[in-house]
This record gives sequence, C-alpha cells and structure tokens, in this order.
Amino acid sequence: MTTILTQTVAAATGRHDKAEPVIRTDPKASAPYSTFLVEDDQPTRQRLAAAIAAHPDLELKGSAADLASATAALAEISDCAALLVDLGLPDGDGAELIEAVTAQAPHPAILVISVFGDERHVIRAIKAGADGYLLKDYAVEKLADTILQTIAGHSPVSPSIARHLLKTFRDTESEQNPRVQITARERDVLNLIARGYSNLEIAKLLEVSTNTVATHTKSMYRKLAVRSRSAAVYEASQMGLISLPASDSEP
Amino acid sequence: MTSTSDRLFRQQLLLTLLGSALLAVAVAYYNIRWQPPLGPEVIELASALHWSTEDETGTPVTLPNDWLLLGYRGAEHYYQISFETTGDAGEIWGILLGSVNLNAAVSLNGTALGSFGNMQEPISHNWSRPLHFAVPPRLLRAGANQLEVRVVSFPPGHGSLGRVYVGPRAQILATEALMHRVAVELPRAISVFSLLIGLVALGLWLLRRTDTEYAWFAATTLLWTLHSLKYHVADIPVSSQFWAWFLFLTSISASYPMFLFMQRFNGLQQPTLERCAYLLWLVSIIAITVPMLLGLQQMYPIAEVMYGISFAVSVYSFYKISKHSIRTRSKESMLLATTISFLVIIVAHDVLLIYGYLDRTVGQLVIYAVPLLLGGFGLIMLRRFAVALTEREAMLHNLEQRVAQATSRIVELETDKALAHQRETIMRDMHDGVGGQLVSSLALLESTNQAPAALKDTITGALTDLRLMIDSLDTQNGDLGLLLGALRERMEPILDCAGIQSSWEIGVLPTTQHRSAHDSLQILRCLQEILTNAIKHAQASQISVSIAHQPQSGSTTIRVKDNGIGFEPATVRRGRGLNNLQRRAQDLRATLAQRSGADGCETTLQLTDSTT
Repeated sequence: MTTILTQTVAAATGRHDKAEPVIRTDPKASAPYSTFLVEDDQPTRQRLAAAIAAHPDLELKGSAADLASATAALAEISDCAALLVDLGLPDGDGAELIEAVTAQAPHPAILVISVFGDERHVIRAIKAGADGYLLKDYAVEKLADTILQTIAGHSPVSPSIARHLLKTFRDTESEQNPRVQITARERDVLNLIARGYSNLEIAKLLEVSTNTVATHTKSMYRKLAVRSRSAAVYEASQMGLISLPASDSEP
Repeated sequence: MTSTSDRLFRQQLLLTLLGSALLAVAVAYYNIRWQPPLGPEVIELASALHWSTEDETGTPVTLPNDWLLLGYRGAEHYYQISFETTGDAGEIWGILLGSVNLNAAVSLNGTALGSFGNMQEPISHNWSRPLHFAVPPRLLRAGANQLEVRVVSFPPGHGSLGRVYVGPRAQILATEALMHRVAVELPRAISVFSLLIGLVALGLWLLRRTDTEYAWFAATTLLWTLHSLKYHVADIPVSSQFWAWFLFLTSISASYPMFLFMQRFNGLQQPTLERCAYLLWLVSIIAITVPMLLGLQQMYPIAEVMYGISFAVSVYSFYKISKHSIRTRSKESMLLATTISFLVIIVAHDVLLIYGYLDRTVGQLVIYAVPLLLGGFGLIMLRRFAVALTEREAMLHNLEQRVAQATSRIVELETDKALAHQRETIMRDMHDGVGGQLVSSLALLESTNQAPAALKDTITGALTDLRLMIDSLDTQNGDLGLLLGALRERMEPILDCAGIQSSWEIGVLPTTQHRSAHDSLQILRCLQEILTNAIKHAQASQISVSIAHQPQSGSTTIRVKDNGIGFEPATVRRGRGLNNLQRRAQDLRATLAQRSGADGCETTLQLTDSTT
C-alpha cells in the first residue's frame, strides 16, 4: 500500500462527482449533444431512450437493435457526441462496433451498457476502446449525468472495475512499454478507487484537482486499450496473420 | 575471521617453520657427515697424492677433494692412492668412486681398470655419480697397492673426486647399488613423475584456458623435466658447452614460470611486476646464449650470476605466497608456502654449492625437493576436486529440494486455479442468470408503477445481496480495504436513497493476510446487517464507517456509528438480525460489541490477525 493511504478522509459526499461539461470529441459540438443508442432488449432500449429524450442537454439521434443497422445508421450521422452500446447483440459483438468507431478521429464518447456493473464486460469494452459504462438499473437522472460526464472526458471507474484494472495491470507488471504500463500515481489513484474513495475524496487526499484524477482514470482506460491492441497485434504476428514492421512504430 | 581460524593458522605457520628448520639441519648433516653403509671388509681411502697436468710433484690431499674449493685449475687431475690389504689375491675385488665430476679412469698397480664413457670431448657427464670398477683376480696384492685415478672435468677447474672405497666386490656392489639408487635412479623416477604432473597441468590448462595458473605450473615442471635429462644421459650427443648451456637454461628458467604461477594462483593482477619478470627471464636467456654461441668460457660465471638471480626470484615468490597466505588465511596458499619454503632451503644449498662454498661431491639436491612442490600442487588439485564434488552434491541436493518445493507449489496453485475457476463459473452463472432476471423484474415493476414498494425493496435487497456475494468471491486474497470498497460501492446508493449521509474512513491495512471467500462474505454480511439495521430502525441521518489496523494488538477494527435513536439492549427483543450478527462474529472468531445511547449506536467488529 502506498504512503498516501496513511491519511484518511471523511467526506460526506456522493461518489459520482459532478463535472463541468468539456467537449472532448468535436470542438464544434455543443449542447444538446446528439446521442445514438444500440440495445437489443426492447424495454431497456425504451427506458434509456426516454431518459435521453427527457434531458435538455441530450438529444437522441437514433437507436438500433442490432450491429448491422447500427453500422448503417452511424454512417449517416456526422455529429454524434455519444454512442451507447450493448455488447451482446443478436448479429455480433458490440465490441466490434466500438473498435470500428474508435478507429476514426474524432469519434463520439462511447459508453457500454452493462447489467449492474458486469466488470468482465466493461473491461472487455474498455479494451475495445470504450470511454465509460452505463448500468441498466441506474436511475433516470443518473443515466443522463453519466452520459454527459463521459462526453466531458471523464471515465467513470467503480471500485469493482478498479479491482479488475489493478489485477490486469499487476498481471503484466513486467511490461516495459511506458505507453501501457501505469505510473505510480495512477496506481495510487486506482488503489484508492478500489477502496471506495470518490474522485473528490481522492483529489483531497492527493492534493490535486478532480480533473487531474479524471485524467488519470482516462489515461488508464487508454493504456488498457493500447495494451489490448498491442497484445492482439503480437498474437496475430505470432500466428502469421500479419507481419510487423522492423521499427517499433505503432501498428 | 574467527579466532579459531587464527589459531589454526598460527599452528600451521609454526609447523612450517619447524619443518623448514629440520630440513635445513638435515641438508647440512647430509652435506657434512653422511656416509653410505659399508661392508665389514670395505676400506675407505681418505688420503691421496694429487697433481694436475701443470704440476711437477704431487701434493698430499684428503678425499673428498673439490677443485673449486681449493682453487685448482685445469681440466685433468690425477690422484695416486696407496693402500695395503691382506685380501686374498685370488678373489675379485672392486673399487668404488663415491662421486665424480665429471668422469674418471682408474688403474691399479699399473694396470688400467677402465673408465666410464668418453674421456675426450664430448666427455661423459657422470654428475656426482658413484663409479664402480672391478679388480680382476691376482691384480690386487696382499700388502701395498697403488691406485691411480685420472679425473677430467668440464669446464676446467670444476671437477671433484669424492670418497674412494676398496673391498670385496660383493660388498662394494651393495654400497654402490644404494648410492646409485639415491644419486641416479631416484632423480630419474622424480623426473618421470615431474613429467606426468606437468602433462596433467598442461591438460588442465587445455581444458580450462582461462585458468592460466595451470599453464605456468606446467611450464615450471616441464622445464625441470628437461633439466633432469642430466640424470638420464651421461654420454651426451652434443658438445659439452652446448650441454652445459642447455642445463643452465632449463634450471635458470624454471623459477620465472613458478613466479607467474604464484601470481595467478594468488589472483594478483600486477602487470608491471610481471613485465619485469618477463624481461629478467629474457635477459637471463640472452646472457647465457650469446657466450654459448660465441664459444666463450664466460658463459659459466654469467650463468652462475643468472642462477643467483633466478634463486632470488624463487625467494620473492616464497615471500609473496607467504604474505598472501597470512593475509587470506587460505589453506591452499599455506600449503604452497610450506612446500616452497622447503624448496628454497634446498635451492639455497645448491646455490652455495655452485658458488663453491660447499663440497660438490655430494651433488645438487634440488631434484629431491621437486616432489615436495609437485606433491603440494597435487594435494591442492585433489582438494579442489573433492570440494568441487561436495559442492556439486550439495547443489544437486539443493536443486532437488527446490524442484520438490516448486512441484508442490505448482500442485497447490493448480488446485487454487481450479477452485477459482469453479467459483468464477458459479459467479458468472448467478450474475447472468439470477442477476439478469432480478434486474429485468425490477425494471418491469418500475415501468408499471403499480407494484407494491415492498416487492421492489425485496428485489433490490436480493440484488444487493447477490452483488455482495459476487464481491466476496473477488476481493483479491481477502484484502480488507478492497472488501470495504466493494461494500461502499453497493451500500452507498441505498444509504443515499434513505437520505442518510455516509462517511467512510479506510486507514492503512496489511495486505499480506489471506482471507477466504467465506470469511470475506461473513464480514460483508455483518456490515450489511449493521447498516440495514441503521436504515430500518435507527432513524439516523448520518452514518460513519471506519476501519483501522492496530499492529500492537495484532487486530483490525471495523466501527459503524450512527446518530439515530439507539436501542435498549435489555428490552429490545433480539431479532433475527442481531442474532445473525453474533453468529457471524463467532464464525469469524471476531469480537462484536454494540453500544447504544442517546447519541446513537456504535457497533465494533474486532478481527484478530490470526483469524484474518
């Protein structure tokens, strides 16, 4: 355990701190932010659609129940600010859609729709490039808040997700590449999140701003995605599917 | 360094000094007084008349007679020895010249008995050897007899005649055989031994090129083997001057590789000193080779000087190995220092002999010291071999133990992995099946807006419980901090809903203690129960949860405090919740304490480290 944990904080505050909306995808985008929804379960889709429609800062651009129609619909939309994706779709994996969307720049903030924080699915989505997650059983206000926070560039990390991240990064501690190895500060943040501290409490403990904490969590998401991509490239090269260039440039 | 090793070292040092002193005394005694055992009728002839080719009349002398000691010159000298005998003229007698440098011809009563080898250049080189001549029957007279001995030497002025014996041939032969064994056969055997050890050392170096100490040791012994050819060859195939050069070269050269061997053996890196040794070695070789090639007699005095320098190098080697053994307390160095101290004493004798301070009829002794050095080296090799074997066995044993440990650990890990996999499967099934159903049911109830609140609460409670169960299965070795984090994640939204502000304090906790999934779940359920009681019954608006580790008492305390109405322990019926709490605390071998007052209720759960 790191030294910063010798302090304790007693903050009577909610976990999910409000963050000022900062546009992270397209600098020209402004409220209301266009949102697209991909969910095959009809009641959930309706519930989420209703929550988005009810919020003044969000605008539902469309929704889809499968991968094919989602891909077709997204090709027509140019100013999408947030994309909500369920992983288990009838005609394929939502992670494929996430990978395809993140391959373009700029791209919308991507949130994976999860059943009460299913960590395995969330981690898989983060590896594919997702920026955050939505729980199906969130209250209506919280759904909209989470979408807006993710658009603002924040990546929510719950204690259970933090536990998984800790485990994932610990399993590959020998990794030498600084682009995928978390820093000591990021590990401190992760340890605190896993112990239940909110971003605000962590900011107080580490004497930094909440934005800095959010930057750390965002950075960890990115490293996990890069790690997963480089691991996939390595596996592919091992299987002879692709040939790596001689230089260490990013494939 | 222990005092025991110091004491042992001092004992060894004392033994070495004592041994060296004894050896020095023995060498001196041998030089001055040693006599071979003689038969009862054998007579030693100690008086002679001596003259050289330049003298007109003879001079009475006593045998042994060393020319260098007496300042004689010339290459050819004569001795006339008169003796009387009562022996039977019909019996075969013998005459024994105990030690001759270099060769002799003998005649008795005017009749030549013969000579050993060639008396002309290249003359035979019988270095300090016993020479035996048979006396035919009737040549020996009862009464006065005249023995004439002609001695030739190379270089001139370096000859000598040792003790002379006359007696019945059988008795003379017995003495001669013993002297021959000591003066010829033993050195020959030593030279063969030296060759073998040299070849072994050379082989070791060829197998381990980085260990150059073996190469230098091989060079030392092989040079000595070449030098000891003088014990094998009397009738030389080359000129006397070339043969003398060859013998000087091999004896002078041997001390330089020995010095380099010491340097390597001690692990000393002194390039300048070693360059000096190489230079001196080269100068010695050139200094004796140039006069040899020019056919100059100056080769001999120069060679004697070089021999002295070579001896000084040996003494310096002895000084260095002694210093090293004293500093490092190394057994191997001590052994070498001992053998070299013996060698130095014997070589000192030979140096005095070469310089003409000692009677040369006893001959050089260095060959007898060679086995000491070779034996010392052999012992070191044997010791290293034994140590290497012991170490190898110990390493093998150690390796076997580690493999056994690793194997049992692998089995343990495999079991853990299998169990973890099973747990994960159950967790996933519960999550995807029951969890999904509960979430859908809750969503359905919320969409209808007609479902009773109690039903919603029940489903929400079931969901929370399910999440806690899953969390308890995945808290990474039962890290209490992570467990509290999971609880906070699950309970905070419920507390928020109930309008209760919560504060959480998580101090420094040990991460090394392993806690089972069962214990983790028990702790979670305890805390869930306490929090649920506060929500349902306490009417609290604030709750604080804290956890702290007390290293002094070896325990961890979890404290939950609310600002509610409290309860009266005596009057409150112990409901199912409180009973459950106690039961779970007992199961955890933890202490549960509850205090209730007007300012609310405080519950502490103290887990001792041995139970966590």
